Amino acid sequence: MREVILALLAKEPAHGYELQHGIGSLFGEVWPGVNVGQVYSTLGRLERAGLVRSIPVAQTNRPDKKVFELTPAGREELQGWVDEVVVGDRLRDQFFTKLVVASKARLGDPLVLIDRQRRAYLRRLHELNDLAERVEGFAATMAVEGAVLHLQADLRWLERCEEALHARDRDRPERLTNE
Amino acid sequence: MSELVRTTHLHRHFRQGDAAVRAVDGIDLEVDEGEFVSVMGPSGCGKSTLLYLLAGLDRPTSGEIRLEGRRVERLSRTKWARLRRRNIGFVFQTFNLVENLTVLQNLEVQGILGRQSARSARRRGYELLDELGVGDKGKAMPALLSGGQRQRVALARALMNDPPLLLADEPTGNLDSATTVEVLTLLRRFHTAGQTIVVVTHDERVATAAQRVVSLRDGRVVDETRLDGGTGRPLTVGDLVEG
Repeated sequence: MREVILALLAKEPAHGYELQHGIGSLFGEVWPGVNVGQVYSTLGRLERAGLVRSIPVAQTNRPDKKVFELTPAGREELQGWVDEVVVGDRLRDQFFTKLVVASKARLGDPLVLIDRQRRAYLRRLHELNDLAERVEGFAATMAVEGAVLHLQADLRWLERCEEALHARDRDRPERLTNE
Repeated sequence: MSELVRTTHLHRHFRQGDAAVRAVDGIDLEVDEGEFVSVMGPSGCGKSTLLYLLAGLDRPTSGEIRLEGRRVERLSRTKWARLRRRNIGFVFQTFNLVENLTVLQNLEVQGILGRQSARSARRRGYELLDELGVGDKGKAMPALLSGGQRQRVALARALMNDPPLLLADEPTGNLDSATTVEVLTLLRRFHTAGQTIVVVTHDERVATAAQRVVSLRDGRVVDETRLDGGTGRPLTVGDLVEG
């Protein structure tokens, strides 16, 4: 939210309601129900950090409204954020940890865990296929596409885990009986 | 719902050099009328062999195949061919269109083989091309079409005789991901309209368009997962991203 507001202000100064509307038209149902209160509290934090400043604009018959604009420090911060490469390995995933510890601590058969997880991923992918037909717009379409591709990778990774476990059991058949 | 396909202890073994390969090794599969089932597994797991057996394009070593309750695994080639024309639509990974016939002629031939009159085959052909978004391609030669358009035409051909069963072997294997999604949407639309579909694929996205996934390894069913009938509220895009 923070960077999105900075980015919208980089284009032109705006007040809170305009920003709320701008977020809505960019992200649509990806970020449903962003309320103006959240926008103003984020703006408050950004202002205290010196990344935006507010200019009061006089209005007839109404209290002044505040228009926000980006400061040079805000612009620098935003550019740094845009240029920073995002590296994600996605193995902080809870299932990975469960799989590793479960077999060690004899809490469950890893192959059973893999099967259960595969079914859950397949069901989720089915839901995503449905969702893909309902969404519109760049942000929503690409969010679904990203989720689909990540899940496909997760499913292939489960297959690799399974192969590796089978190979290990083949190499060390005594594991099954003696360990 | 009534049962459209059932295999019992189905086997297909063959020799490859000195090795005996059990491509299909005792598969019991049931598909109900109106169901969309996918068969999934790594290459060499026997999924395509299974599909060819269901279509009568290959013969089992042993076991039974029932189509609409009728035993079909011992039918002669001629009888299988006749049965297939009327009852089974088949979509291949490589499209298999007749390259020196126009798109419409490809469909008409199929309709006429299925005992439609030339006029009804033409009408049905145009109807399906329209439905599949390639209504303007009737007079084109297949070679001039993109992969996605060819697969749409192949799908139209498979559906020419309104077969109770549609079989698809890696239907998106030669398509890019955007076109894959388009073909999936079409398959789902036909399924919603009542078409029974069995699709064989190694692509997880294609497999999960179905209601049920059957996983094969080494010619055997190792898992079956129902994908539909999930309870709770439908997934939204908001669930996918961290705010």
